[in-house]
Amino acid sequence: MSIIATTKNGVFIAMPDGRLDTNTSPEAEQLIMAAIENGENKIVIDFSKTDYISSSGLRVILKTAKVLKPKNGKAALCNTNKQIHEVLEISGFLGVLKSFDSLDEAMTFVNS
Amino acid sequence: MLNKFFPDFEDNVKREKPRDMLYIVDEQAPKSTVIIVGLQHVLILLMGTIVVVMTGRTIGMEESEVRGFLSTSIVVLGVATLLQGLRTRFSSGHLVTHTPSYVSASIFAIVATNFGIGAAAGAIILSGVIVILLSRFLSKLQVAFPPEITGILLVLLALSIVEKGVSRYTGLHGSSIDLNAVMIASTVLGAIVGFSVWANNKVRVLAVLIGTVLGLIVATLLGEYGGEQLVEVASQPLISFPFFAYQTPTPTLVLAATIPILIIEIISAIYSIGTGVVIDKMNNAQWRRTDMSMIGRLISCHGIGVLLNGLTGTIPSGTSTASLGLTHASGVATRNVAVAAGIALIVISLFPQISTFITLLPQPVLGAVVVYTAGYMFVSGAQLIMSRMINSRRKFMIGISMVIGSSIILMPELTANVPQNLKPILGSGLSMGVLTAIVLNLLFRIGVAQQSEITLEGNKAGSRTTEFLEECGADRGARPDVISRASTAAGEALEELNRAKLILGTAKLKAYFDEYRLILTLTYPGKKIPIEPQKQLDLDALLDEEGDAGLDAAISNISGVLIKNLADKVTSSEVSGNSELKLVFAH
Repeated sequence: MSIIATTKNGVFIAMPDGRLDTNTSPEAEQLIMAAIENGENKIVIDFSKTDYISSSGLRVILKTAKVLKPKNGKAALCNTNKQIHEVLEISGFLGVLKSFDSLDEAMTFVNS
Repeated sequence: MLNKFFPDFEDNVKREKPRDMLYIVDEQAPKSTVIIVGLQHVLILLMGTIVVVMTGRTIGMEESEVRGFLSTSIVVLGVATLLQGLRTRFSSGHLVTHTPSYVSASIFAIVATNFGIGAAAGAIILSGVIVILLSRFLSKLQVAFPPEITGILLVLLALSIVEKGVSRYTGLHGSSIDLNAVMIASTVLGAIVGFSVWANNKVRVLAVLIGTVLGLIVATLLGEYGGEQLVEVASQPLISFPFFAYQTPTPTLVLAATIPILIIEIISAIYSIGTGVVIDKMNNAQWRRTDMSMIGRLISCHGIGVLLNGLTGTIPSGTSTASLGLTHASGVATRNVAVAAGIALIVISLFPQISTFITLLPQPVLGAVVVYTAGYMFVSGAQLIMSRMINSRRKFMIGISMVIGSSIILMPELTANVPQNLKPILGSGLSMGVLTAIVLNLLFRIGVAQQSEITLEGNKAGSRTTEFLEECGADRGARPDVISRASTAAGEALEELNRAKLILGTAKLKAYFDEYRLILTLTYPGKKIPIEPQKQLDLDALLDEEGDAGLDAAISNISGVLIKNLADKVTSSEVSGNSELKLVFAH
């Protein structure tokens, strides 16, 4: 799996490509944690290229929210497919991080 | 004995009302709504009875006899429609209406002209009995009618009524289009669509009636409706008992007359399967598969209608597709409407002026309703076809059947030289398309086992599980949402087994699939996954905790939550160091 990372309008955007599971989530976590350590405190995880998420992928989301909280940072998710949305819903993660239908909406939220 | 062949009415379907419907089959709509919508169905059905008038005149009936022929036909339509709305062992219990069949009318005219009306009546009686008997076997044919095949049936049925609708819509004569007809029909169609989409619920139920009135106004302004039609209406008696004006013929059995009528009626019954699928789907947002018991009862009622047509010497009726369009446009599918419409038809048969007035309404009005219905059925059919996973086998099955069916409809010259006695089957795009689909579906099952197995090892086990289940799902035409849930649940199980170090070697995953469930069995050396009631996680509190230990425990908990919520049944067991996790998914 590759993870595409960009910064736009002061927001760090991570876009996992493929599956976000036990094999690929360590790389994703490392990338996002490095960005936060470099001073990024507005993070959007864009799932438009992600086919599948497992509980290991949820760990990345949870860790991101946990690390951002004391820094008064904000994170959001966007462009989830049906499988990802269902996993987020069942696990209760939609109460922790907001999920939006588009990158623009997610960026507006973290910038507000 | 009766229960064995014709089981009592049973309806255990849990329905969820679709967003675009106001009242579904079991709901009680206000009496005024039932009456208004019922009368609109009567309007459409009576407009279809013009074929009865035309057939009566074609076979040389006197005008008074044509009136009785029409009134008697309307009584039978009323009885059949009323019966369909009731919850009996011989009826669908849905809003399904009956209308004279154009194809049946053509063959009726031919047989009556060559062999006499008695021979036509005898053939229709026999056909009705056979359709009733055949209806009982339909509930056993679930495997022959998966959603893709019923979808093909709907698309081809829609295609087959396009000609009927568009020729009336455009007033097509040879190659010339009647612009007045287009204006009338466009007014009606525009009104139906507009009121269906934008009007509030109270007005929406009047969509077809408003459209018809507007169409009639436009027709009058264009000079297409007026004095001539009103004179014919006025020439009819105010009240006339149907059976006095038309002498029921004595049925006779003539083989040369019986065979073509029997074949046509069996094909007409197949058309009614499509009607049944559409009305079933229209009543349930959670529709998953065809309710073949309901379809069987619908066809029984269809057969009873045909039997009554034979006993009264009238043209065989079939279920009305135009009524489906009205049901969707109005949003009212409660069965009481069928009862109201049936009673109204029987009462109206006593008043020839009313039935003649409606019969003489401009044909573009009916054309607009048929065009609306065809459009709706195209989309419904396409939705059904795409509701299941598709691989190359299914692509070929769907594609080839659609090409065969549509080519016969679009290119009637293809079957111009087919022997007359084979024409009803080989010349019917719907029959040939559906038959091709059924044969190919059965053929392409060769090599597809009900159960498949895979060995999982290494760090690609999760992605390999997803690929395996998607292949199985595509082979068997499974619902994509069920395969997705199964893939996620199985993937979670593997992750948790590795995370908790419960698995000590290679795992095997078996997938068993039938139309009603998917069963995954994961066997492996090691300890069983504990399936305990999951405590509610406080994710917000976790965000404030020091360190990541809480995070890891939470993820294990979430794994269990996902497995238990995605699967409909989970069992975990261990015997002598080997464990088994079984996940059952309702399909």
